Amino acid sequence: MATETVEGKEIFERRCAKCHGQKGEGADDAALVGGIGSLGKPKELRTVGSFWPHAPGVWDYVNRAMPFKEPGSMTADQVYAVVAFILNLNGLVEVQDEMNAKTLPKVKMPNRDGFVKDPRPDVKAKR
Amino acid sequence: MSSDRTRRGWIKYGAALGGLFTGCSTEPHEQSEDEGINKLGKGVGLYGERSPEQKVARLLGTNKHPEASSSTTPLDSTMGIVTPAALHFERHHAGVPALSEKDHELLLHGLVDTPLVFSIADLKRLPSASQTYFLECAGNGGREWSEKVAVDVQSGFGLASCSEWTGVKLSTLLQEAGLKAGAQWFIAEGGDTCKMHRSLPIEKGLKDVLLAYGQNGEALRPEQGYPLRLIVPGWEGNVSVKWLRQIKVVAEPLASREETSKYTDMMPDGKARQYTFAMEAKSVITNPSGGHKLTKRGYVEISGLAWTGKGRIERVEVTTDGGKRWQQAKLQEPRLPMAFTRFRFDFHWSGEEATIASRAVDESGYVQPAREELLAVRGGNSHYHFNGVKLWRIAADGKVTHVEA
Ligand code: HEC
Repeated sequence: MATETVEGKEIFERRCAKCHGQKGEGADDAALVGGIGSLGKPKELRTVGSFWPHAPGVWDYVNRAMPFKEPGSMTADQVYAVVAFILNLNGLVEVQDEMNAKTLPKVKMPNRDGFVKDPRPDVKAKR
Repeated sequence: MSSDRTRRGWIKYGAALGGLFTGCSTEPHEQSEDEGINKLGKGVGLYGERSPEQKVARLLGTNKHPEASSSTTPLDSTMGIVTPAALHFERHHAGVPALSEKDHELLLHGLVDTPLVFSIADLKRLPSASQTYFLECAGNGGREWSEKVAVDVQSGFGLASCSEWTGVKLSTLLQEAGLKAGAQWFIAEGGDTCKMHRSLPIEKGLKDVLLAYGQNGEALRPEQGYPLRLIVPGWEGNVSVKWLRQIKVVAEPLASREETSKYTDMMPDGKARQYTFAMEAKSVITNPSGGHKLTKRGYVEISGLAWTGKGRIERVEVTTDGGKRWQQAKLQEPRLPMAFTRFRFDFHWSGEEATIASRAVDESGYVQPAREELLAVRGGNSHYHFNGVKLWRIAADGKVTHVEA
């Protein structure tokens, strides 16, 4: 369905933009777009695009928790559409890419290898 | 004991402690009739309230959405090791749901032989356990990572509290359901509107995780997860999922939003540490602390709290000269594992400027590091798990403030 992100755009502007910004750049609430390559740099920006390791995790979170005041009010397809739109704003999928349970896990998230195990105790106090 | 003997006893004890009681009146207090001693008081009541003149309260965080915000415990006003339930810190991601004990159910499923559903009444029929544990938000003390360190103990360190929790051990339920091969993790999910969920190793679940319905002798408060919450001793507070409604046994952790975007610790190289569960040893002087004022020279009790996710607190050391010399504080007994430990230290304030701090050592031998030592390894961007030493400065006029980073 090539119109996926068109529907996603419509949902995003109507139901998400007030809090997260028209283009997901952040407003009262978190930026969802941008910052790719910024982790660990002085102007770090953690977003869905720059920080989240797996695209299905975005679907899961939006499906369970968003919009903040009306969670659970979107169909599964609407959630795919709005997630596709957010990924498209991040330059991670094309407008014509169809997003569903099969394709979403294949999206290559830039920070997919960005998480490491807990090595603590890592700080030794001098006494 | 006659008042005469009491007076003599006090004087002797005071002398031994170097003028401990200078300034304390030893004259018996004359009570005049109009002070109300003869006015009959109120009768019995159904549910106790504190004295109307007691105003100690939580401090509300500044998040734009009060439903996705926090409130902090006034650690400098709580006593001993227990936090009253009404002052227990809050951190919600999607408000406090209005749940009923009668309707609430817990589903236990996934890699188990027999999936089970429990009502609260079912859980209360099972063998119960009561344990005193601290809970600490992963972000407690987070301000210390930045240059703008906390100015007082409540705003800076009050995302930690300690209660006696009563409930059923998760291991009891897991044994009842039977674990299938490959059961390595479990996912706990809450009944708030974000359906907060976290993955936890099954090992921990079998060891000491509690499904709590009680706090400090009564039912959980709604904001603490009524009617049922997880208590994961010693680990970051977020995993002690409130309003618990399901536990799913699985092979792999989820890498959910709360395990990637949040509650991971960003390192200077741009990699984030994940599943950083345990809270490492930490302590802070609560009295006196930022915002307080000493009004008299002489004896001052320095007191505070220490805790560790690795068991018991072994030792707390206090400095009153900015870290040149560290001396042992007295620890309140019994020292319970993964609970607050109250420490106390007798200090004679000469009226000169003094910089005070505490550092904890836990039973694993781990020593609470200095802020600089922590920053040297982790950088200033990891938000969570700050456990460095906190300094307070007593000025010559008695005002107590934070020490600039
Ligand atoms: C009323 C304001 C509001 C609206 C409308 C809203 N959100 Fe949110 N969003 C929030 C808040 C608040 C949080 C953080 C919640 C928390 O503290 O856990 C959040 C978090 C998120 C996050 C996680 C950000 C991160 O990096 O961790 C995503 C993704 C998200 N929202 C997507 C959406 C989408 C998609 C919509 C529309 C369908 C939407 N939001 C609508 C307020 C809003």
